[in-house]
Amino acid sequence: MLEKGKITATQSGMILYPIIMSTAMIAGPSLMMKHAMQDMWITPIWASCSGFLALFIAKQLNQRYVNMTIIEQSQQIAGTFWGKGIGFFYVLLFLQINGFIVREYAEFIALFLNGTPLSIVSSALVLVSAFAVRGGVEVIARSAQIFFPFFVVPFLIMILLILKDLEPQNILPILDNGLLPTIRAAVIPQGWFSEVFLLSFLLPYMSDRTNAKKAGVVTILACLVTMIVSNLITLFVFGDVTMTLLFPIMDMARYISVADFFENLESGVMAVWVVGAFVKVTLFYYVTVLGTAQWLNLSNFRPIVLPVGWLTILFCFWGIPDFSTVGEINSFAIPFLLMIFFVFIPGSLLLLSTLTEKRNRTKGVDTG
Amino acid sequence: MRWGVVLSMTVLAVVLIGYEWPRLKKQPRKDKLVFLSLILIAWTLSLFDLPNIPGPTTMVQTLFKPFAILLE
Repeated sequence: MLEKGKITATQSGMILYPIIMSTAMIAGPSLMMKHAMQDMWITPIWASCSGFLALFIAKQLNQRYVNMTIIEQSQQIAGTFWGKGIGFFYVLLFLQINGFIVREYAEFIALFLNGTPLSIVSSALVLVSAFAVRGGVEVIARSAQIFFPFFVVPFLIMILLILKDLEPQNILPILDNGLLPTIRAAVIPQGWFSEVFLLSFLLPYMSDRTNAKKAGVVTILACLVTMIVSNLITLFVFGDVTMTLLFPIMDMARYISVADFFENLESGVMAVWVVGAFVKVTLFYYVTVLGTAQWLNLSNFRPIVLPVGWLTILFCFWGIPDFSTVGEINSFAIPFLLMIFFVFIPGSLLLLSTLTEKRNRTKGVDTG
Repeated sequence: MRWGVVLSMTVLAVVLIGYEWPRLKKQPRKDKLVFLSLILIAWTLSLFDLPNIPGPTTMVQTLFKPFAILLE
């Protein structure tokens, strides 16, 4: 096996939580509000369905093909030729998505460091991640574990500080337009939830695989609750204005003013988000590198870490001239892309493997 | 041609190869080949004005444009 490290189910949950939430906390509330208006707090409930589905598929595939990631599983299920084809698209997808995440991160940081070129910001993040990826899955899991409190606690503190400014009447009228708009708004967040499927790359290296399902479910529920809370809070603070804000959570942090002492906390939000983005980029980076190594049957994944990092930086600029294109891709292309690669294709592979298995079994009965 | 870019990217490629080669020496030939071709691809791509030429992201964007109607 390429990777010899071992992680625990709890650690995998601590990796997955920032992966889902780092994007959702920054742009989530305003994106969901575009369709669902004041009912946007219901939307994450629908969106989480794709997370549970992705978790189920990843777990089932892992039970059938133990110690394999989706790159190897697809070759086992669909045959070498088609499996290699699917694997190629997966590797390309990971590279592209990772480049896109790095770009989003760089654009966000550029709000604070507005004189620094984007290429420097993104290169710095990719370089730091490269060291974690070279260390393997264990290093990634442990850094995620260490960063986890830094990602969660500031959010809770922020809620406490904003508590006195909340206007709960903003939630009314509930379900004014029926349920349909809330379901339509779920198209974007379901993509984030489906990223739980990356568990496919963590399950083979888990020492307590029996707890994996529980950890996955707890992670999805935690993300669901966090998303509902952050949606409600932004709604209570900003009301309908949320829609027009680019990064509502950050504006909320800017809004906090307690005893003339806690002010301008948006830099705190940035710090938290850097932590989340680091975990997210590192895992996607790791998955790209490991996937490439498995796809080409290399003997070691470490040598290709830096070249893949270089490619990631290139992909974060390729075909994306400005920030408006980033927003367009984020809302129109990425959700569908994630749904296809993290739910639809693995789901079809699972179905295919169940069908062929059943056929083989009946054949066995006939001959035996 | 922007010679500054060509020069700095070549330096980057040389540094990466120089950094990895001592460890790569013992690895099979295939690994070396993959490593060098990835560097070559990245180096070649670096020479273009990437933000303004269509890439895989543009392809994905055009591919999923019909679905955007669902969200309008």
